[in-house]
Amino acid sequence: MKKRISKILSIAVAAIMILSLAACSKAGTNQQPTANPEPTKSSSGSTKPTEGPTQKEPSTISVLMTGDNTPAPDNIVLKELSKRTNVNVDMIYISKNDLATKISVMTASDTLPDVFPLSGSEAIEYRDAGLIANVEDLLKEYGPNILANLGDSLKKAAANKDGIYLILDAKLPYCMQLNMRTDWLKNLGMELPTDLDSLYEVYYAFTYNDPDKDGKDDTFGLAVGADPGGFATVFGAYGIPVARNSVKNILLDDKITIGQKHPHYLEAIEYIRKLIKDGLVEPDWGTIPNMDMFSKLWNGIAGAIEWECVGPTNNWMPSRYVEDPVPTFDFPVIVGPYGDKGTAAAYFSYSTGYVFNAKCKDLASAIRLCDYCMTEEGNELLYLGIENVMYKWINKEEGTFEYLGEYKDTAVHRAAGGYCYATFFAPTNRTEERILNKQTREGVAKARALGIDYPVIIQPLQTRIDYGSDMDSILQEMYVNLLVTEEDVKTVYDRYIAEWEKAGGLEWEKEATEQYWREQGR
Amino acid sequence: MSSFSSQKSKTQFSEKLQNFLSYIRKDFYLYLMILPGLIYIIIFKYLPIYGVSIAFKDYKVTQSILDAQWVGFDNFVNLFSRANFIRALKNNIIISVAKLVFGFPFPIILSLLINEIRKAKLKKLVQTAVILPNFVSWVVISGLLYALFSPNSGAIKGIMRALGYQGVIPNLLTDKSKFRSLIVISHIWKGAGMGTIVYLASIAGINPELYEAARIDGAGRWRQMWHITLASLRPTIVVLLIFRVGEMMHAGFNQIYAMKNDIVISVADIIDTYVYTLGLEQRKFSLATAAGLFQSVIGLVLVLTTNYLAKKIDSDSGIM
Amino acid sequence: MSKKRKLKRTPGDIIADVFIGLFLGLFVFSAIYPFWHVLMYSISDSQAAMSGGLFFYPRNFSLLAYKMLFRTKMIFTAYKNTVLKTLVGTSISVVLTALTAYPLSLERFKGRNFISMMIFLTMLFSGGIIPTFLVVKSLGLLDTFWAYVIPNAMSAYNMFILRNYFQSIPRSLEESALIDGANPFVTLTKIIIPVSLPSIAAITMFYGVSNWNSYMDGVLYVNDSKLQLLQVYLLKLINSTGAKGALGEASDIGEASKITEETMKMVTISVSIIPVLIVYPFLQKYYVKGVMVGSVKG
Repeated sequence: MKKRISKILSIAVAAIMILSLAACSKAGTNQQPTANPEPTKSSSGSTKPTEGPTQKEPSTISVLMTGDNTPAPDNIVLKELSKRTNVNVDMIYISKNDLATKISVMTASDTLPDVFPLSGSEAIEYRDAGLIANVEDLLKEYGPNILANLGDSLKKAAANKDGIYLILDAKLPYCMQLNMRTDWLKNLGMELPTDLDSLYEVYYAFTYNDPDKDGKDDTFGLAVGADPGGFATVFGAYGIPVARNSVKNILLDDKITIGQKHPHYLEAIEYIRKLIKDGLVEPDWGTIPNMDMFSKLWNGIAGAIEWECVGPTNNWMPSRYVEDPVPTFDFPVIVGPYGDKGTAAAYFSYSTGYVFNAKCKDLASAIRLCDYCMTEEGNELLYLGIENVMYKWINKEEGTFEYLGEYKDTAVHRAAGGYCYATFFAPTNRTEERILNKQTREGVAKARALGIDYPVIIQPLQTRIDYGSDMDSILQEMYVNLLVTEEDVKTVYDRYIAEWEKAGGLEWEKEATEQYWREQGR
Repeated sequence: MSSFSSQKSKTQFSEKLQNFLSYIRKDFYLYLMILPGLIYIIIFKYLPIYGVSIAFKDYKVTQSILDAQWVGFDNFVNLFSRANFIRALKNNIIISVAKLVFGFPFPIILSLLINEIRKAKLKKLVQTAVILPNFVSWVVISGLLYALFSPNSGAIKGIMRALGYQGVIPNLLTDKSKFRSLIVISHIWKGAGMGTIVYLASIAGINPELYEAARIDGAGRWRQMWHITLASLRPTIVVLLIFRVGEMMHAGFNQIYAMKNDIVISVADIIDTYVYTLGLEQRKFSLATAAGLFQSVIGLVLVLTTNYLAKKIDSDSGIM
Repeated sequence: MSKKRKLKRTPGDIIADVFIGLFLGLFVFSAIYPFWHVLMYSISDSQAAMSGGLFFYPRNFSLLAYKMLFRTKMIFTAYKNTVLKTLVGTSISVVLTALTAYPLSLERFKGRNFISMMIFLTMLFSGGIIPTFLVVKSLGLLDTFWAYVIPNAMSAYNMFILRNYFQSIPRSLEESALIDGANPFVTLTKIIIPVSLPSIAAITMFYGVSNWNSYMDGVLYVNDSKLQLLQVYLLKLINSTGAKGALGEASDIGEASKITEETMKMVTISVSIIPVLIVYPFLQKYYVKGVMVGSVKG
């Protein structure tokens, strides 16, 4: 009885609801607050301000990019970019962590912007759904710089089989390397280490022989986190290619497998365990946040760090270091027992890039805009700002410059749009690398030259899509547990590897090997 | 026969409709009053509910939810076939139960104790203080825990060294056997304020005449606390308990996501953190929704059971 | 029991008081310290603060990070948006919640069980982020201020808290109004609300804090950076100081590099919590003292 009544009631209520819903939605659009003065709906594709194909009227192109800065909405850099390209830029600038969610809801609700970032496997999915545009022909006409920067690699991307949909990232990553304090070495009367034994001796002396001569036992050999990249050089000395946050794949008996299955992997682990057990490694490594780890170097607690040298010798130099005079660094090369050295090589990434919305009303303008950003001049604008207003070159060849007036203040510079958009269609020879100091530039080149080659598979693998996160977390868990375990290392290793194989690893090895040789043309 | 019964049910129906309309007429204003809330719930909560269907579909964001292909229980089978999901489920239950058993009574005790403070100013201070941790995010708290327990730069080390202790300082943050306790204790500490406020608001609403009457009858402090304060709180306690039980399958994403590290992940990973990492790789909406639906259904069963038990003990309590 | 007993304190009472005092004292300290830590860290020099540990006083007092924060106009826009969102959003929410909770608290209200159940189920089941987004879009709320306040206008949790409180009010109070022929709107505003201030204050605070801290609606529903919310702005700011330069992705030049991400975090936490702490005592006074006293007798 009661239930029946409530049923009827709910029907009645629903009826009222539908009526009021109609009224409500109307009211919702009419009563827009004053906060939204512009009539443009930025998210719903490009909107031409005027009807008709008047050539001189610039199109508005909406762009979604990620970055962690806070540029003002109508800043002078974006205005200058619009002026130079004759394209109005409607920039949606969000934090990287929110990208996946944002793109998902935009896709599902048909509000994608004209230009937005996608991963390689997503690009295939979006291409097949007809959501992104094939810009192959337009690129020939409007994208000379994009073509010049990316060349043949563009066609290699899996999404670009018939046409060009995904514009890859043109930048080459930095490589990991060992940054060691040479002032401490000098204090101790030691030379740069060249092999694992001398490396151990240096770390030992850094820890126990008071390298900073302050009479206190407060130093350690090196600062690391829980990322295997923190020992990239050690792994490299055993021939295992390791980059920041990833152990690369290797080719073992013509089969693709994970670097963790390298025959010398456990030897490298034993070496690292010894460093930890003998107290040469800063002991907070298991839980230390990145920033705190760096601060061990900045505060003169650790004498070495494995990182891209752009940090220690350029970005952090000199203001981050508390000591006076500031530390000096060199980049030792460690040769392992089997003659291996270096860290994972730097390759173009085939897995990320930007795509163009198939519904974009003016693809030509969109491509012109992006193409300009991929010039050195365009990238300078997006990184340093407007020349002679925000900065001026001291010596452009050497990459020295200075910010002008109020723009010396980083906050003002970034609010004006400087630096914030520098990663958008950055050219290979990007401003960021051109303005590095001499030592760092040489260091970057040295690390790249020492890169350990590893097999790359361009096509996204189904097993990665299905089990990737499970497999990766097992391997990461294995790494830290191998370093702390009291059990037999080999037993723990075997247990985790078996777990990994069960979680999709065996399937992945098979798919990866087949795909690799297919791509190699065998 | 059949036409007769339908005739009968028709008259029954119109009778009921009459009854119903008279209810509406009688309490017209009450229905008018609840209308905005109902509209809100229907538009923003029930209209999107079809999204649950993607738990049974192979959904990609590039297609509409309605077009996605039905796959039955494949997503659930997929989830339960993953060893790490089973591990997360196990951790989830252990952590949730511990949080409920130790954490639920805590705000009740705290609000009773605060109520016993006689000095108004002190009472205010304590009240303000207990809610404070609630305003700090888990990220900050996890940073503070690191500042406390870090074996090299932590404050505990500083204190122990100052006391002359030179031995090894254990790192609680990387100790698998103690990490869950750390999670439960910090949860109780941070969450106490929210519950306490609700209870204190209820206590403030208790008719003071009840206490006066009890005092005249010679009831002491403890008996007043037991028979008046706690008894008056009972409906609130039941409602909060039911809510808490409904959340059993969510063991605190923000907290664990901020506090976990690779060394202890095997005892700390819960369903929500596991599904989050799963989704990072590829946007696995179907799997995530399936996991969410599983959590909701378990939550619903627990809630209905608790509600049933509560009604059995006291027919006035419960949420429905 | 003799009447004298309530005047003099028994040993049991004293022990209880000591125990309560000790317990609450410890708890209060542990609750206040994190704030103190955050505040002291935020006014310390970044370099000096990096060594970690506990902060009972600032190390090398410095307001550089605060200067950085308030140097650009954007922060004020973000502040304004968030204050507006909190004021408007909380008002709408409290009114909506009270209007919904009152009928559901009345036993004579037909359909209350059904509607309660309906609302409760939304706590357990949700359609997810995409369908909700589609609703917001079809109502034309995208990129408007209303996208901040309408989609999260009512929380089922708060509604039940308030309904429960309404239920605990003696029926006699309300009946007297009914005899006077007052309609339910008058009863609610003139009789029920005044005696429910402790609970109203509590849910106002819950709504206020969640409006103030909300992040995801700022990211999802709005692209226009003129409508940017404080929390969205602050998170980007935290990430922009130091992190990028330190991670080796791009050079980081100038004053910003003297401030660590950690200090910026502490500063942003301070500036986003202080307003909450200022408003809090105003709400708090409602549930410190009982408000029923006069009304019940009258």
